[in-house]
Amino acid sequence: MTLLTIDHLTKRFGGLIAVDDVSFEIEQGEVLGLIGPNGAGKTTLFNSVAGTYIPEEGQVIFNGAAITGLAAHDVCQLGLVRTFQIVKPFAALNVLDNVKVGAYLRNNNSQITESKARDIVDFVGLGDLAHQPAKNLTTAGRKRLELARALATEPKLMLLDEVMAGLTPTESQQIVTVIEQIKEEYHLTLLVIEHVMQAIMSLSDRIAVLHHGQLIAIDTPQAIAADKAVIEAYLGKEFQFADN
Amino acid sequence: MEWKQYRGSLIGGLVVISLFAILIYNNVDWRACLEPEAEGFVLSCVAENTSAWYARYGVVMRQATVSGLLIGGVYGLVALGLTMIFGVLEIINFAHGALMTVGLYITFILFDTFGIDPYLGLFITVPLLFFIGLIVYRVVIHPARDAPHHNQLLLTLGLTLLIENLLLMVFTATPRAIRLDYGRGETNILGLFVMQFPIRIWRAVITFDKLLAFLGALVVTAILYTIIQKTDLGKAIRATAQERDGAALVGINTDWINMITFGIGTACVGAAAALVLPFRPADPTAGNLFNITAFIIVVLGGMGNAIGALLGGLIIGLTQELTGIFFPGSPDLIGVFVIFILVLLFRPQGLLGQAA
Amino acid sequence: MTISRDYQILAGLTLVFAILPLFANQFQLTLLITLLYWAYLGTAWNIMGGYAGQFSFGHSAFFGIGAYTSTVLFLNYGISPWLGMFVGAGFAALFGAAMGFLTFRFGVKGHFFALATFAFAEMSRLIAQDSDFINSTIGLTMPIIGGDSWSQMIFEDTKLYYYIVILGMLIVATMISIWIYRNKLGYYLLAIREDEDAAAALGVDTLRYKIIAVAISAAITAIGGSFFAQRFGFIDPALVFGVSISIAVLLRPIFGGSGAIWGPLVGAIFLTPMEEFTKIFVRNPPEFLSFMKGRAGFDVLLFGVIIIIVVIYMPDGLVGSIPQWLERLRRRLRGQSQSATQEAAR
Repeated sequence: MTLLTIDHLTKRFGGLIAVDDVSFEIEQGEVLGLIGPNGAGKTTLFNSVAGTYIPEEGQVIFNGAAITGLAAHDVCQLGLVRTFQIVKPFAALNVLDNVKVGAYLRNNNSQITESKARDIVDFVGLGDLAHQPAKNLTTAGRKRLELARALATEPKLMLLDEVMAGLTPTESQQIVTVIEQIKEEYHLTLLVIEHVMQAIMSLSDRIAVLHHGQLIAIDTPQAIAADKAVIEAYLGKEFQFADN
Repeated sequence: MEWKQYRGSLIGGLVVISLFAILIYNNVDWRACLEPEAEGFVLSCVAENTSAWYARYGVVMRQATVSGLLIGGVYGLVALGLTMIFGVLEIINFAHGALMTVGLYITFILFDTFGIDPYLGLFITVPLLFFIGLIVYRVVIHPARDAPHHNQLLLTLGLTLLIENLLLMVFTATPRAIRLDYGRGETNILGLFVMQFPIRIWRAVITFDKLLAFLGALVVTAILYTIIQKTDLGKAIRATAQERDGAALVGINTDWINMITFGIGTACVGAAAALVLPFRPADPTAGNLFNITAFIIVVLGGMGNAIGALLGGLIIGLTQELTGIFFPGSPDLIGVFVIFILVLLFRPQGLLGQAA
Repeated sequence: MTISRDYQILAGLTLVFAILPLFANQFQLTLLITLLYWAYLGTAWNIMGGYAGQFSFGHSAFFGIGAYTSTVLFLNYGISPWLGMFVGAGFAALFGAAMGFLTFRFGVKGHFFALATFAFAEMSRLIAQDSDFINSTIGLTMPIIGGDSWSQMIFEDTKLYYYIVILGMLIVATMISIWIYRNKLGYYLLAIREDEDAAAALGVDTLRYKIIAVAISAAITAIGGSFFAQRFGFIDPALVFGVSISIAVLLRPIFGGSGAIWGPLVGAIFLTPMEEFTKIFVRNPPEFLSFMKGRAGFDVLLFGVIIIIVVIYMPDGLVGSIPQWLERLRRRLRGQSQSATQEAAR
């Protein structure tokens, strides 16, 4: 079953076309990696899907309903949640309360919310820090918190925006483990932007490549690694010339 | 230069025009022209009635227009100081008006105790306010540089209460006015030529002190504009306003620029104070009016925009005087607030200095 | 801390404030009424300015609407203030919601929002000054009834009754405040305060919740305005719509700790006696400060100094800063004792 359909989506900023006529689909239960050089339009695509930006053209269909142009909170209500590349913790609230904000989306009862948030905090490995203010967390801790909050909204699809950026290789590996556990445990579909190639290759079922706002390839990780257009996008034409 | 910078001024201008329109609509007897027994064409009848009304009431309107523009120049100067401080420090200095009150009292003391002419006193008041600005920045503003925005607003609010009430304790609430012994009747202008004051243009009265306040404000604005645009200091200030980290990276001491900018902003109100004291008596809350109008002008004219500040000042001055015709008495600020809210609503991105 | 713990504290405080009047003379009773009254208004402000982080610099608009609504209803239509205060609360909530909708809808944030609230308050003052049906600048005066009347909420003989009324109001306001803070609404408001984008991404309808916060805060403030009208028996636009009310309302929560349940009360407990003593001091200063005798402004001047000190040195207010100070002190003491043991070991 197709969970998310992005259909001829275009987002412009003045003269700049940040996302140019992009179409692809995500199947239920799939992990789709989204890669591309800096400025390729990955985050803009996220923002256009998750309601931060209103796209100029095209449609986004999530779980059978058109969500194009819907506000961020409505999109989240329908079960599509995103994390931020630059993490945005509620700094003054403690870790547990941060997660409770997400958990309150699906019920109004404080006790249920509390226990649910508690479970998720333990699940992402922040259990010992549950009562620390979020501002005291390390970068890795904040990334986990970002995951935990998103998870607490009981999403069907999670958009993860560079959760590994700024982490050490060990921390990245731990986060990959957490994401894999999330996928197993909560049967989620994931759309993941990532720069760390190794991580995304092992994590993704398929990978989509954006370049100058256009989708230039979408295939299995193995096929993408061998794709000429992708290598060209990443390393430039000179590489190809030298190779010849 | 982008026209968007002046969108606020455009909105303000539209409000002013509509004020004129409502004024005419309410006062001209145009309904009579729609009656069947009215003579001639409807339009010519309306035109006739309008000119009849204008002959009777036009003088009030013209006087309001002239007074509004004159005081608007001073508003623009006060706003220029505020907008500079906002542009560089990103704080709304609520104490701007209170500092102007300090300037008023300094000018008053200079005149009353030392017999120094207020216009000559400019050369004392302006540097003095500049230094007061430096000190205020060091002692009060700088320690809270990294506090959240609303806390900085609160800080300058606290400063306002401190200044106002200190002045109240020292000088009491009695208004302190000064009276120039020149500027009425035949006046010798710098020994060059003789002019008759008050001037009458289209039967609107322009007094010597108000004219001088307007011209003085223009001159100070022009000087400041030149400093900002042409000198190295001005370039450093603009660089800091645009991109603080970048400015620091190329060796600009941004802390120093902060302090200087706050000093210059305060010096602006020093100049404005010396210019208005001859017709606006000093009392501990005298700066409030200028404070409120300056906020609105800054919102109207765009942040860190000298021309916008001047334009906004003229619009606000006009609006204030024109609403004064509608509601005789105190609430002449109401039209100004209407503009303020309109502008706040319609160009908030411009206010924050960045697109959402 | 849990919600039941908060209610326990409230119960304890209620007991203390119920007993206090037994030992208070008339002057002290007045002081207590003033204290509770500012704590009440601060609690109202805190819901919007503290929890939701929407810094209001125009609460006098809500206050004035409350004061005028109940007074006009009482004077012109004979409707009891007990009813009129809720009508006023409704009007203020509507006004607040409309103001919130206009400003939030167009993305007015941070200090610009503060300025906008200020502009709305000033506009309401100017309109009140120009409205003949509420007696423009002259104001409205309560009738003298020559005694105490619970139904009209006028107590000319027994101050204690005003004390009871305001204590009841404060308890209810605090209960509302606690309930909000410990439930979904509170979590959403705090989330909005901390980061609006993140809150929206987690499904929080930020516009709606901000408007709710403004409306609740406005309604509670308006009832405080009605109480003011009843207690002082006189209102005019400058008095109830003036900027000094807006400042006074936010002072206690800022000092005590905005965003904390008990911030406004703590702020009022510290600031109200200070204000009174300054007034007494100026009325009768010691010999070497005799020049200050009868000079107006010293009390407000001190407020100015306090605001500056609070913003620079304790931005989280007393409630937020005291634990930090204690922690620092403890650490220092422990550090000293550790170094002492090291000395001894050597």
